[in-house]
Order: sequence, then structure tokens, then C-alpha cells
Amino acid sequence: MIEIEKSHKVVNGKLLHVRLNIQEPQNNHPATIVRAQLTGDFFIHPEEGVLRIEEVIQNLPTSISIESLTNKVDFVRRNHHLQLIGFTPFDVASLVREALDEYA
Amino acid sequence: MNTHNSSWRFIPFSLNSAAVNMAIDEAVLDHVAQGISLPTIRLYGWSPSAVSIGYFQSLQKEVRLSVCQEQHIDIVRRITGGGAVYHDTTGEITYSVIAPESYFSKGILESYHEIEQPIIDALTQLGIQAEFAGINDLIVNGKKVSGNAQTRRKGVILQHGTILFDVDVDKMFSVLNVGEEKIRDKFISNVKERVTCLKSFGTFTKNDCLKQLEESFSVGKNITTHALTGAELQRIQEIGNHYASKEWVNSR
Repeated sequence: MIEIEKSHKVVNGKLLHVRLNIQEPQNNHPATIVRAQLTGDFFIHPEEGVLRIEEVIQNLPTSISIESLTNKVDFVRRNHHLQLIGFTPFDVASLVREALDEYA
Repeated sequence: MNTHNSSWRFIPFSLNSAAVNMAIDEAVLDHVAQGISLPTIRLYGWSPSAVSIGYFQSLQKEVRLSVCQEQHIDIVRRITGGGAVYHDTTGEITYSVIAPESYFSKGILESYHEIEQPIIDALTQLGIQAEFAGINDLIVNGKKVSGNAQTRRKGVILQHGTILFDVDVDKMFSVLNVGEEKIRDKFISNVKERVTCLKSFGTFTKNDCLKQLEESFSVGKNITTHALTGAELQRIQEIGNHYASKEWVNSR
């Protein structure tokens, strides 16, 4: 298991920090994100929505594209009626993708 | 803001521990939500001095824990998002506004502005020109004097914020970890350049400031001074330990 992390300050927005636990490839299974934690000085209403965003990032292959990640986070946002303040689904997706690229 | 003719409660400035301050805000929110407490404005301070971190922040990343321990500075996690704040016992004023969501705009940013306008008005009365900045800050001459954070639960808005009256900025940044990323888009090289205190702009006292804040927050409201109710005090006892617990403070 590998832990990786990355921060990004959204311009005119908030600081996002992501910590990912990666299960390395084994037995024909690709490398996978097994745990994701999003921290920072942003706002989400309701606050518990952060857990839904973290859940949707978990169990994804590390090869996932930025577009798929954005769509998944945005789906959670719409489905759970979350208001994200200081960042967008794309900001989360690009931060996760950058962290994964550094790992690769 | 739709607060005309509505009855409000004002709770005057008092010093409390970090866990008690956060428990009071939550207990009042619960009782306003149930319709058994009036919408409330509180002014308060922190004793001992404390750091409050936002709901989503990592404790380890935001706070220099060893410095806090050495200097007996409390640490608490808020139920609101936003950034870490150093609440100096003598040099800082915190406020809370706790009222039904229907009293304010639905838009989050608009409601921040509505709730913070009385602070701008109070500072104007003290001869200080403050303005909104970013999502949740107030600035004077381009420097932050107030940071604010809001949650909406059970149909009630809780917004609390810090007002820097006379804070030792070196001490503040000896307990807070502010990474370079945070100021990268601010066109400043040192985080200490980002903040200022009201005391630098006049000869008024903290009491003058508190009095002016009370007056400004009262405009347009039928507001009376009341203490916490017995039911609120009981709730504060119940949830105070939660705010003081390592599980909550370390939860991220």
C-alpha cells in the first residue's frame, strides 16, 4: 500500500488537499485507490457531503481519466444536492489526477 | 435580510473554553431550530487562547501541535468549514449569528455579506473602512481583519467569525501552519503581510469595539439581552465533552 498526497490552492477559491492510499497492481488487478481523504479550508453544504465525495473516489483504478473523475464528483454533487464553495468537481478531479500522475 | 420586526436575543461578550464556545453555538442552533430559543447574536472570547480548525481541515497539517501544547493553547474543531483561526484571549473578538435560514438570502455568498454588513458598519463608526474580500473575509487596506464561516443545519444558519482586535501576529503564525500554496494567489510573499488588527487604525478600546458591534448588529431588530436558557445549558453540558474529545478534534 502506498500513500500519496497533493495540495492545490484554487485561484480565488480555497485550498484543497487530497490524501490517497493506493493498492499496487496484483494478480491481474490494476492499481486502485483504496482510500481517499479530502481536506482543506473549503466549504461543503451539508458538511457530511465530503464523505460522499471521498467514497466516489475510492475503488477507482489509478488510470481513471480527469473527465471520468470530474463526472463522478459532479454526479455526487447533484445527487446529494451539495453546494461546493471555493472549489469545483473539476478542481477535485484535477488534484486527484495530478497526485496519481506523480505516483505513476 | 428579512429581520425587521423579528425578536432576537443578544448574548453579551463572555470568555469560555474552546469546547464550551463551540457547544454553545451548537446548543443555540438546536434550540432555535426547535423554535424554543430566539434567533441569537453572541459576542465571545476564548480562555485559554485557542485554535479553531475548520470542519474539513487536517489537524496535523494546520496546527503546530507542539507549540500549542507548550503554550497551553486549546484546540477545537468547528462544525463549520473554512480555515484555522487563532483566538487570542485578549486580542480577538468572535461573534455568532444563529437564526432561521429564511431570515437571509438563499445564496451562500449573499448571506455571508448580509450577516457581515453590521461588522462593516461597526468598523465604519470606529473610522475604519472595511470591505468584503473573497468568499468569507473582511479586509482593511487589503489586509484581512475578519474571517467568517457558516453552516446550515435543521433550517438554521449558524455563522461565526473572528475579528482581529489586537493580535500578536508572530504568535498567531507560530501556532498555525500556513503553507505557501495558501498565499500563492495573493501577491504577497509572507503570510504575516496578509493580516492586520483593528487596533492599528485608532485609539479605541476592545470595549468600544464590542459596544459598536452590539449596536450595529441590533439595527433593524427587536433585540433584547438574555442569558442562555436552562435547556441550552443542559445541552451544552451534554455536547461539551464531544467538542473536547480527541476523536472529534483528530477526526481529519
